[in-house]
Amino acid sequence: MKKLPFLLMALQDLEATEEDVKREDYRSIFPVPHQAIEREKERLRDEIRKMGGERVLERYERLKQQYGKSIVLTVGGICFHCFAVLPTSLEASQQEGLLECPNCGIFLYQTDEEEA
Amino acid sequence: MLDQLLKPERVVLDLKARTKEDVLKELVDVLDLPEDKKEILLVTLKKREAIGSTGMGKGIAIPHTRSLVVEDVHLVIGRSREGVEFDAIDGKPVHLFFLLVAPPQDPGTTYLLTLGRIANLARKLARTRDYLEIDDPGEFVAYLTRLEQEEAQ
Ligand SMILES: [Zn+2]
Repeated sequence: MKKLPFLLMALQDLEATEEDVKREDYRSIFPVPHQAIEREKERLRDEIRKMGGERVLERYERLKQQYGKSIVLTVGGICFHCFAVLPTSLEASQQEGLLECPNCGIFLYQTDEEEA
Repeated sequence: MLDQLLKPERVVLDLKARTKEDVLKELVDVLDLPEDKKEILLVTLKKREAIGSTGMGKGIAIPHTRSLVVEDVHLVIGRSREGVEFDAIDGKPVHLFFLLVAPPQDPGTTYLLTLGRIANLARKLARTRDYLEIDDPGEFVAYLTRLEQEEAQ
């Protein structure tokens, strides 16, 4: 059910690793070929598309351009990007429980500890 | 520097896992995180392995990733006397695992520095394999700390 946000977070984390891999100190330990990262990113995007997430991917890229990131956690009912207080009953959009911040528009992931 | 991350409660001296995926799972399980965050971390770690195994050879692996679901840098150590197939670069089974996770933003670059320290330590550990003999997590941490300080000289 939460598969789509999981995949988006994995994509974002992989992009963070991509930045590390460009560094010489990282490459001296793990010389990862650039194509390998591209291939895995494309695989992730394919998985997201298969779940009907074409529009989500476009939005993901737009948010990344705008904010440097696309998905954040909600912490204590607050958007961890813009720090807006979120409505108590955030409506999940149609995309498999993927939430959006009503204030800044970033994708949100609400963890289990928050739902409890 | 590693001594701040090395904790006896984060050391598993007898991993039960026998496969790559299960090892990652068993190591992640040690972290104090809700189930869904563990699951997300596991997805990301597997993606990291998919771009190239972190099994650096000579029985040692350093699975690592950045992840949105952690707020600090964490280190978990796992040992398997039997060894686990981990697609290591030398094709040999892995006996010692250093799981390193860090948040996406890490201004102090603790993560990359730590990764370098662990890689240095791993080279030293690979020489003697004394790490297979220790049976107490506290002793294990003390051993690694000692070895790391020797390295720093
Ligand atoms: Zn927001």
